[in-house]
Amino acid sequence: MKENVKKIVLAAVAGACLLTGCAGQVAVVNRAEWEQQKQEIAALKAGIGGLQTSVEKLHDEEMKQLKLINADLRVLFSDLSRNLNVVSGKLEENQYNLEKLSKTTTQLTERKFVVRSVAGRDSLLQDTVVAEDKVDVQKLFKIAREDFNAKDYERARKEFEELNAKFPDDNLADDCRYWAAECYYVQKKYKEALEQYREVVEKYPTGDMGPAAMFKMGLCYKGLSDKKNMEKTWTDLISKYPNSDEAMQAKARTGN
Amino acid sequence: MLLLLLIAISVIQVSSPAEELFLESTSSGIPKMDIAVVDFVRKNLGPGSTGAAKPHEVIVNDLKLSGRFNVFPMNTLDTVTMHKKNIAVFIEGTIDQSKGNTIFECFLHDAYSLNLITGKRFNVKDNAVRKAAHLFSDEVVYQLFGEKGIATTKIVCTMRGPKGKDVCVLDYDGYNPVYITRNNYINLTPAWSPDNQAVYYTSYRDKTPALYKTFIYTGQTVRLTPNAMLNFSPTSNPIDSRIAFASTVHGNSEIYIMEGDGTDIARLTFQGSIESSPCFSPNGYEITFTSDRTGSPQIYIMDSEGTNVRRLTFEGKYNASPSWSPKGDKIAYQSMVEGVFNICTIDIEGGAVQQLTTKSGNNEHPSFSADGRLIMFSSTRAGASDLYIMNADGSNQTRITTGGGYEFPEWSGR
Repeated sequence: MKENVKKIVLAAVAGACLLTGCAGQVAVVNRAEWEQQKQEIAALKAGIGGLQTSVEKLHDEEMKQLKLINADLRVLFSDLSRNLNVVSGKLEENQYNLEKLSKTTTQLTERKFVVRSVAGRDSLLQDTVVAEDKVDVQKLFKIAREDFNAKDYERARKEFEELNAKFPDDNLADDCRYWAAECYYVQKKYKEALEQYREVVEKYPTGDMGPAAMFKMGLCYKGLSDKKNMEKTWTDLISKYPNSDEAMQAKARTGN
Repeated sequence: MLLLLLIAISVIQVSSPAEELFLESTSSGIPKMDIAVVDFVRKNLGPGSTGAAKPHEVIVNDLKLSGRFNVFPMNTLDTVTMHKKNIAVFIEGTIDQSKGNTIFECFLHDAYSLNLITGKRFNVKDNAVRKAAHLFSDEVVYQLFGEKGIATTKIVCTMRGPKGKDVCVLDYDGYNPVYITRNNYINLTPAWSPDNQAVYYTSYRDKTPALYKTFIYTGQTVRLTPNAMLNFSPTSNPIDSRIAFASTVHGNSEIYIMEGDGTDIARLTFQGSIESSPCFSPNGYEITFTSDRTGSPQIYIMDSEGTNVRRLTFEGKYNASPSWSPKGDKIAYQSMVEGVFNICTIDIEGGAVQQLTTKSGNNEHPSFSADGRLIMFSSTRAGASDLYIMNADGSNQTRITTGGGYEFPEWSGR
């Protein structure tokens, strides 16, 4: 048994030697190829390096172009936004002129009615009454605002509330409610003011006074030391009227 | 001012119940009271006195400027002429300068009954005669109209100096200038504190345009804005002494508000446009300001929290420098008409515009008197910029400074 083992070991060693000899020869052949491949790889690397440089150059160029386009777009956008403001300003002016015209027309209608009624025709009675109501709301609103400016806040509040109650469908109805709230706010009666501002937001959600009323609700909560509701109201304001001046105010105050 | 008074719509029923008649009446101007001022009788002239003190002339000027009187100066007391001219009241008095000081007595009489309405005796140094005469003018207005006059109020403005512009305080009639700054730098846009004890203004004295507060009687000066950007157009809240101002601290000019000592700054406007020239309403609750958010400078109103912004002016391409009337019903501003600035007023509600100046040159920076009856402004109608006073309806425009270089006037409270 031991003899057999020795034979196998010898045979294995001899085999290994033979194999090693063979292997050494293969390695020599591969080295030459290796060198060639190495050169090819170097050439490829150089090629890739060159490509990379040109790609980077292109990229830089692209970025430059993109930045220029970006800047142009910014300028364009800012011009657009500016022009939009100018157009909206023109619209406001047109609206003002239209209102002025409408007032003149109302006055003329009243005179026409009088002339006709003097001549015995009273067919325009209905129109005239409506026209007079509109004029009255504006005049009464002006009186209430003058009382507010004269610091007679209680009187002004009653006048605003009465106007709101009597002319709930008038264009100034939300303004009346808002200013009634302001009368409370300026006297630091925050709870009462809060209710009135809330009514402006809920009853007239599409009116002009919505953002201001919501912002003031936040200030009422601040006055009542209710920070949680203050922040919630202002967050709602930012999402509901994101482009309003008041949303900017709320962002500045909440640090958003 | 042309006051259009729609007096009444009276309904006269004759045959038809719908028969109506409109009565429309127009009236121009505010009725004025006729008053005579008799030259004061000079009793004695002491060795040191010049005899230059003429308190009656100061009183005549005050009553004329007040816009409440037709003033008839007289050399001697002549009741017959007064009765012919239907003059209701007259002022007479005496001056005694024999004992160093000026002692003068003034009396206001009813011209018909000759009863004394009020009388005052002043014992003052020569340089205080004008002030004493102003006090009597205010007393006359109070006795006849039940409202205090404005003859003792003051003006703060800028005055061109040798190297820069200085802030100075004048009597309302342009006399007695007192310099608040004398630093050879540019000092601009002065405004009164509500108690009339201090003046806020912009100064380049520390190289950057910052806001300062100077106490006019002690001269103590405090810097209010620490930033290195442009801070200008301060205005103080008449109720709580907070200050609103314009600043470029966030890039473009926006309106900010802070406490009177410069702390607790809050931003009020967030537009990408130029916002400037804030001015508080008399109840301190609202702010009027100039903004070019719609392409051209126009007047806007917001409340002092920065909410409820609304546009006030729609006529004209360039409206700026708004100033709120003490009664709260009007705002005066400068408006560009045919290439030059003119002073206009606008009703807060209703927006009725009235142009008050039409003279050539620029008429700028209007400011109301404390009784709301007069407006001070600067004008280049005579060449250099001087200060003028007019009635709030545009009548009686009177130049009160000469020599030029006066700008940014603001009238003090009473």
